[in-house]
Amino acid sequence: MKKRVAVRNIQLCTKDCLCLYVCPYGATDTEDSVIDISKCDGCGACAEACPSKAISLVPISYPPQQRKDKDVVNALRKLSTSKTKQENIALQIAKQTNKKGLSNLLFAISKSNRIIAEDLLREAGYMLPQSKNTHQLLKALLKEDDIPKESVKYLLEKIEPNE
Amino acid sequence: MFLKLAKYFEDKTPNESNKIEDLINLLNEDINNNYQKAINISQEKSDRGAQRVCSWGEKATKIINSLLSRYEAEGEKLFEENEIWLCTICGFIFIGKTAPALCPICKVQSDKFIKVDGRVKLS
Repeated sequence: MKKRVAVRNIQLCTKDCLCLYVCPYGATDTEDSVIDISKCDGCGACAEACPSKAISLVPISYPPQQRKDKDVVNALRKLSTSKTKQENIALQIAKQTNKKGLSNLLFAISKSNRIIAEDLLREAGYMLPQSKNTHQLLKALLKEDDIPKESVKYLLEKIEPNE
Repeated sequence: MFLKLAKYFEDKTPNESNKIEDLINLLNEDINNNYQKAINISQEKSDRGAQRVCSWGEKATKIINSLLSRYEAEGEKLFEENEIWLCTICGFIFIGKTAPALCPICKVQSDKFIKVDGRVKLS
């Protein structure tokens, strides 16, 4: 059973095509530059040969997330709650004001708060979509009435839990 | 799919206040209290990930606070010859003609910055 597969970062790829030259399985020989992971055996020859460092190997199954301390989680959640409120307030004023510069600034502030809140929540126990936490959250969402259930079911089916 | 769920929650969220004073109060509460508490507890528990997120977030929060003060002082003139740039990795906001070569907070290169002009959508 293979433990890892190669993936390409197309932004770094300079099309020297040494990966095609060294791959024993023809996995890198695709029309759309996406490595065919059904053919890839995870040997790493392509990543070693690539002069642009555009190929890396990722594990098929990630190790379980580190356990998070309860107090740390609470402190981070308190911050993310505040950030979510700030995102909401900034977006409302951005939509209401007729001052163009202020509107753009508040729009940027609302987006910034979204980014910071997402980062906080990742560190508060949702680092991996494969984690038990994420799966428990998704299952809990299924109990809500008007949630887009097909999205939740799709994610639960598609993402294999790793713990 | 995760974005679809995010949109669902965004639409469902009841609106908070629409006063800029409330935004500034929350910013000050984060800067003066919440971040310090979170930093202390993550150091105590040796949680490097949590320390990292607090360090980035605290800086980005202080920047937002100082930009609002600058706007209060300078008004719309602040944007006369400048654009607003947002680091899509850490949330750092920069006012200037071009995006900085490196993000001063998270050190990503300028290609991770987007110009904010009211229409931009984060993917």
